[in-house]
Amino acid sequence: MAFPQPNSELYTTGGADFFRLKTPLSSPGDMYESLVSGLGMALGPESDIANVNVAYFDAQAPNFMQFTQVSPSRSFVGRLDANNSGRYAPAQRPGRVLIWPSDLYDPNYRPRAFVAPTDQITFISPVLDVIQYFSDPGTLTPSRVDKEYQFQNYIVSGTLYIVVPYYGRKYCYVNFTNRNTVSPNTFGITGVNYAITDDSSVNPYHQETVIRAPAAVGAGATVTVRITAGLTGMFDALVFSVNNNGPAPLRIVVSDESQG
Amino acid sequence: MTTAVTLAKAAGLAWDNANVHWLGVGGSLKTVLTNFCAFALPSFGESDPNSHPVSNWLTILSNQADLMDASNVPIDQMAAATRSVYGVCWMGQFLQTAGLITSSQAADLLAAYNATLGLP
Repeated sequence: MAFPQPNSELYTTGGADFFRLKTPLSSPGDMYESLVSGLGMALGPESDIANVNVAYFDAQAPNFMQFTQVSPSRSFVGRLDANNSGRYAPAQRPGRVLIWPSDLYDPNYRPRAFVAPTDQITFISPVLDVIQYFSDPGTLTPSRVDKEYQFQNYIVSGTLYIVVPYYGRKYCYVNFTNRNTVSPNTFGITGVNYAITDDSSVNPYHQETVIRAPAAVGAGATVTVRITAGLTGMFDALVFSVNNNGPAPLRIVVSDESQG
Repeated sequence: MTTAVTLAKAAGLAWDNANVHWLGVGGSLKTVLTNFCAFALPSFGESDPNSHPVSNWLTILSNQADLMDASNVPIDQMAAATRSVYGVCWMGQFLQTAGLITSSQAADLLAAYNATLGLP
């Protein structure tokens, strides 16, 4: 979906009670708009992005622009004005509801250990899922669904890095089995917090936390890792690395629940 | 301060460049950001919906700059404004690549960046 984005007005004229903006991020700078006022805003169930900024028209706010943020633990119930006939100052652009991720994303990120051109990296684009309500939603509980990823065969020349969004998640279960009957597979996990940085420099500012140092997993062997916010920390993304084509099933489940 | 040859590069340099103006003698961040928005906005007209993602970022950034103190900007305000610079540069890069804004518009955005954040 991405850009051009869907028109929220078509949802109201069509009689819908809500406008759902659900899209993989096109870029780290995605910015969306709604031309229609709403009565509530909440994270959608499939959002990988955890924190979403919202700007709306407020005649008493400085420059007529007011801000709020919705997250897995906090939705917003109340009128959010678009006020297309008003103008935000000092830009003098029409009022509208503006929606954008607060969390950082960087598809140009490369792990410190990345060796070009033999290594490869693939990103699962974070999904932004936000719902704007046009009728009074009463109360909103914006829980996100658990997400499950499964991979099993790879095309690897050096090391393959798989980047999975993890914004605001509190728990991850990882199950990796080397089903190659001959060769070991070096498997590692790193937590990443993105920074605003020049990725072409020799010293990008992203933070990396080794969760499982890359180590050989023998033929037929299994590795199970549980990542918890309390013990391991919270990350924008998890990076999984393998260095063999497999087969090597990798099951990843991420959740907002701390799983005791 | 470092000028950028692409909008993606400009995005990556956003913090470093803003930081220099923030820490500069007397602080020039407010002026720099205000000028960046003023230079870039005319190229992203309201009548073209494909320009809105960029102009919406500039609308937010111009508001952030307007509310800054002239010479004593708290670090959280600097960080929020830098996030907006990062966003608008990446948005411009993507929209140009997708053919939703023209090369001329993207060049105007980059020129506005280099003439403000990218210069001492």
